[in-house]
Amino acid sequence: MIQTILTVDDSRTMRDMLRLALVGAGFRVVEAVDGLDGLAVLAGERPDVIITDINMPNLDGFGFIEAVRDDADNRGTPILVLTTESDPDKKARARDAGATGWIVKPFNPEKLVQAIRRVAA
Amino acid sequence: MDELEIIKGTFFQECEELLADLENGLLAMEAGSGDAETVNAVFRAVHSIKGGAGAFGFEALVRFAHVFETLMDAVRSNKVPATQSLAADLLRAADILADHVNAAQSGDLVDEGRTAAMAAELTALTDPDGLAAPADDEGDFPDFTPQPIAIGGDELGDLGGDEFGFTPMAVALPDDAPVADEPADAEWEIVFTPHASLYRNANEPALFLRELERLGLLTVTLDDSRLPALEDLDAEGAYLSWTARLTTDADETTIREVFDFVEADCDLIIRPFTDDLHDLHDPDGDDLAEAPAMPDIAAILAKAAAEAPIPEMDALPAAAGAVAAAPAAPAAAAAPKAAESNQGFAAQATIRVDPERIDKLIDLVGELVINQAMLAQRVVECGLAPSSSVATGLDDLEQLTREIQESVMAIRAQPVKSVFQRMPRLVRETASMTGKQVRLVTDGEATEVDKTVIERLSDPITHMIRNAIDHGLEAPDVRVAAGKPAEGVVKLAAMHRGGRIVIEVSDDGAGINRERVKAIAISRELIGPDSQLTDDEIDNLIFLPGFSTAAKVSDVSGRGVGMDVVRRSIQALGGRISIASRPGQGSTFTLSLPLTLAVLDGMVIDVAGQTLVCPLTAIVESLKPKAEEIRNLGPSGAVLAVRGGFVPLIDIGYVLGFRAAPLNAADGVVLLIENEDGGRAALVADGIQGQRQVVIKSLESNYRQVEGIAAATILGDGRVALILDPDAVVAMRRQGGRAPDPALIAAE
Repeated sequence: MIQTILTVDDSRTMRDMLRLALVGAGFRVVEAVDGLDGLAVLAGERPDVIITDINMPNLDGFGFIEAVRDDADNRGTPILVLTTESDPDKKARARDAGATGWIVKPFNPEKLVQAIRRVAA
Repeated sequence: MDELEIIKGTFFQECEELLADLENGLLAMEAGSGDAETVNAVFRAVHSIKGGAGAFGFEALVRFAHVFETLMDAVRSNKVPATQSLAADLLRAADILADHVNAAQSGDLVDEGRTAAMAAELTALTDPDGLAAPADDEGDFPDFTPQPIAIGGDELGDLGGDEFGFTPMAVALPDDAPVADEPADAEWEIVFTPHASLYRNANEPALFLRELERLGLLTVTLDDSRLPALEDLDAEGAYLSWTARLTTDADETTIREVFDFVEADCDLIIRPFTDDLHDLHDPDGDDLAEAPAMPDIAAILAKAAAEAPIPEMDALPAAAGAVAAAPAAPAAAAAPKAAESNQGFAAQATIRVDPERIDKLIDLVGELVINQAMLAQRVVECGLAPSSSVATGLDDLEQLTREIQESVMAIRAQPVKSVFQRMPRLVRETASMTGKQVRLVTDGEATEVDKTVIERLSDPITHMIRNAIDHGLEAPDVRVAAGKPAEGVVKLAAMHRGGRIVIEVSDDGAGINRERVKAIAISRELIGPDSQLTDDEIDNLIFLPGFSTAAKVSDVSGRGVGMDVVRRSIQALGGRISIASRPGQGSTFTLSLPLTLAVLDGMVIDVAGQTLVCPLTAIVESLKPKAEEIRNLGPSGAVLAVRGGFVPLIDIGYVLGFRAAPLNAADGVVLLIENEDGGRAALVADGIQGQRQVVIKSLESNYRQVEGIAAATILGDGRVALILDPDAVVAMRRQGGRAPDPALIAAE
């Protein structure tokens, strides 16, 4: 069964990098450019895992995660937070918002897949 | 091209956009109009540049971006006040960040001294008391190590660092597993008791057990003793606990890292397994330890399903199968890659096209225009009535052709913004070099012009702005003494006017010092010592070759490029440049260029049996002179009386060498032309055929440069016609010394 990953990031470079790594690992990828866009995509998609950036315009990662957790249809979807900060406060905030785990940028494809494996059935 | 290379291209493209956002945000902050979202946007721009740079291993860029980002983070959390002076400092930092991006792209080196100085400045701004970090270089970013990405290779070995939050597992890493340091397989006991928050965040206990199993031989028992009766069960509560026994060569850190994501959301005990514990917890342990782990996990998964707060009944049994199937999955699922890669494009509003394809299309449309004109001419030659169906059909075709041509040209049209964007930095740098205070105001950034023109706008605008700051604006104290604000204003504006693009660079400086300009021109023998010149004529002396108003050559404008070079490069594009100046109030340079270098509206004229095209933009009017309006001056000179003034008559055929003696203007027609500097001349031709849009073919690239001729074109009858450069024709006449002196005419 091919798993679908939703990537939410305002950086085109980062979205392309994620796509390259994820498609290469056999995942199907859908993309969103910020939190609001991510919620819009979720109206029509049921991804197996969501990977989201924190710093984004319109709706940031924290707000996006909270909104997903408030959505009855998607509250059980694992969410991995992409962050360049290794700072524990950010992780704690992401966890409080409802993040399942995190990926520290710069990531490498194997790490990415490993993190997905940890949260996806 | 390698996919990663393509993404790298995207990265640099994105950097350009981000740097523009960054600058705009900082300019808004500097102007005092920035709000919290502006600060956030600035932070995000730096953050995204750093993120992408890290992925590609651009270390110097990452390091500088990190220092910048740290300061922006402090600003957005109000630890550092967002003052206007801070914004000015950040703008300089943004310039250096742009240098780093360019260096990363080109592989050039950056100025490390400048970077280090700026980084130190940013660090000092972040932490004014120097409390947080020691001042040494490494202290700025102690734990940030960019990792170059590598696709497809076995690069796990590079990635051991704790700052990533997890470490590759022994199973995936046969080569790097710490086999040598560890006493071979040890037995561990792991007691894992999730809290409700673990489930709330969509974590799944079975998956942690699956990860543990990757480390070695695993046996798991479930403690469901706290599970209440069904009617008391809170669907989102946490009641289960697992005790796992793991035989592995991995150390405790590796085991603990499996639970990295949920450390705060569970009770976790990890301890070496001893027989005491074994006896205590699991009387049948010996048998279980030898048993394969799979059946246990499957059972646990089934049980966990009862507890999972989110109903995913179908997914969970599948998970058990996935334990074994997981490594095979990536290969099996690689097939839909092609279908997937189309997905991202759906959301994009733009497409990228190789410029060569557009150039080719423009060439073809040019041929189409010529072909259409030839066809129209043939139809006329056949003597068909203008109302005939063939002729009206051709009219429609002409209309369509023109529309196609305009649409194709629009593809290549771009806003001048890309050039204007580079100017704030130029202004800052020039201002700091000259010690002047300058504010740049831009207008009309959205004005569109053909890409080929845009590419050549940058140098003249750069030069005019440098000139405006260096020579136009006064030093702050001089300005204050003159009752002006210390800060000078340089305005850069673009607009469409009469089918051309007009760029204006104006300053509110002292204006041109005409006494001095004239004195210099006389001392350099550019004009005679007793020349009578109008103010405009004096102002335009600065365009003469060899003229420089700076008493000493300054760092800024004195780079061997005078305004004469600017004017020549503008003229080579079919453009004009002029200056208007008012003492004490400033100067305005006006530059006008055709919107495209591909087509031209022209007047087709006959000259000594040749067909020439004169650009319509140069022509003020065309007229048939009467004999009494012509006044001969000397053997070959003549002037024409036009509305109370006199303009020199210049026979095109004579100047270009088509005939030995000038044609009497009364026998031909006169094209009255005007230079951008207001100078007028009357070009004499034998006759006028009409107005036509022509496709410009470069004479230079197909033949060579010819004085007085701008380019060539192909007419409807298939013949080549030369396109005149009227200003050059006038200049040739002047250099030939045969043109009457304007001063002499004025005296009459």
